[in-house]
Amino acid sequence: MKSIWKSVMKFIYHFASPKHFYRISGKLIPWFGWLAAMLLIAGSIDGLFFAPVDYQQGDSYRIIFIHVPAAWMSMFVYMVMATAGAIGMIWKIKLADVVASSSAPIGAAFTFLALVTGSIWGKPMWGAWWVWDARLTSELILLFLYLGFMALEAAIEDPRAAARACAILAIVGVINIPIIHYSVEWWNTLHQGATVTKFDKPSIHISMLIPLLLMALGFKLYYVAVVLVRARNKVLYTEQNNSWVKEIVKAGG
Amino acid sequence: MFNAFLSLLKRDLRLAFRHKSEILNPLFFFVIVVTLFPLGISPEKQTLAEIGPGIIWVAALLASMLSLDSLFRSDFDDGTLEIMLLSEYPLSVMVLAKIIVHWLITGFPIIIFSPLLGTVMFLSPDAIVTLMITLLLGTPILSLIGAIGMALVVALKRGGMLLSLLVLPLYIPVLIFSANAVGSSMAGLSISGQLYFLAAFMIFCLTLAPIATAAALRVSLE
Amino acid sequence: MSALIIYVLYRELKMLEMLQMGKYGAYVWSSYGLALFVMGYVAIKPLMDKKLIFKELMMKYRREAHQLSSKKQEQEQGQS
Repeated sequence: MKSIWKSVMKFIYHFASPKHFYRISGKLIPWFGWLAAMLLIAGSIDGLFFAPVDYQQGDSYRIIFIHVPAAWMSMFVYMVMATAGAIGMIWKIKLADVVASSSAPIGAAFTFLALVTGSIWGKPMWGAWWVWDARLTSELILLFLYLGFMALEAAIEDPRAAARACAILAIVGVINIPIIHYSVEWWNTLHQGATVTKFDKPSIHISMLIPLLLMALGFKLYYVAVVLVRARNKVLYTEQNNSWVKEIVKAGG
Repeated sequence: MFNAFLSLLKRDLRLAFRHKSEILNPLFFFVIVVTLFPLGISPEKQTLAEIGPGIIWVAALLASMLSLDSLFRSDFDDGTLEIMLLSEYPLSVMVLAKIIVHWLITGFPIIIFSPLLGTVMFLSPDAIVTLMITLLLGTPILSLIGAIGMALVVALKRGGMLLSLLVLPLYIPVLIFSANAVGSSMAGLSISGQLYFLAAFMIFCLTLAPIATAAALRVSLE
Repeated sequence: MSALIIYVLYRELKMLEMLQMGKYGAYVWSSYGLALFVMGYVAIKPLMDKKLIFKELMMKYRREAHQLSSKKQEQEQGQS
């Protein structure tokens, strides 16, 4: 049992070595990228033109095919950030720190997208550009958490210390996110009554579910592709004095 | 270890009382901020009674956050913090002592002055009692979570604004449940759920925040 | 011939109708457009950064090689 664990750890450390990570991720990125593009295009076309019109909201509901996956991704990326930070802190794997740091702007972009599309969707739905509903308010707070992470990273000069401080912040954030979500939902139901939209109910029509899932999967693969590209850049830059980097740069890119 | 904990507590208290401004300034801030709102919005009884709980709580939140500097700043500057890091006692216990002192000099005066401000904002006597209870449960949470943020930014030159960005989102659940409890109290509704949440959250933070703070201090001081 | 024109016009009208999305065209298309813009930027910027990094590192390596060779020259001159 112990030897299995040992060989797993050996495999992880091998893959996490910057040189091998650079090589392997270089092969993976095109796959993830093109697959993501196909899924996103398919999902968008399906959602825009083939999903049926909603009898309550007309065509405006089609925004959910961007808004909901973006919101899901904003949460997912934060979890990845916190997990990567924890791994970097516990096992001292530099690559984990790089993944966490590379993920933050992507997650913030998703959160921003979720907020703005939610706001745009709100105008035809509720008649106002902003409402303090549970999901939008939670997304706003999540944006603050992302910005705090990025600000802390920018403020600390030593990259290793920055990575560890941000890891602590991300872990504290991840523990607090369910608490914040629950508080905001509770606060919202008091002041607005239960606003259950058609899409919060568990049963959603399958012709609307498929584009949603296509977009969700496409967003996930997109995230993997982009985080790998960013991580490779960081790895290349921090390891610039190593010979393997010199070889790669001299061979051209 | 308990002796070390107590002596650190006593030392910090003594230091705090030597600089009385550390205690009085957050308190004045608290009172002034609350006074700004009737001036800026309306002195009408109904309006103030409605927004009063939220305002008093936001003011308490901000006062607590602005006073966080006193937690680690002076010890960081003269090197005492590093010595604490290297000592044989667990850092989280030492940190807890400092957090308790911080609460005694900021949260506790806020609780004492809250009835005065509650009256000024036309809160009912029930609501004022609820206000004090929520402050009693909530201000320790503010000190505990604030300590984590302060530990992360103590080594930075201009960490003040960053501290607010880090810590205020984490304060939001406390604000929501406390302000709501006081408001419900005014309306005569039940507040037990909110108070249970606050108590649970406080105990949760009491057990975990010192550990996170200690970890953050180690990162800041290395 | 005229049948073809009528058919094409019919398809165009339907297309226009679809593009308008009921009366919500502006909202829907601006959302998708924003998503395209944001995600495109987030994806393309690191690719552009990569080129910049390669350029910067190439210059750095050239500078280092130059310094190294000029140091060697000085050493040889010093010995001779």
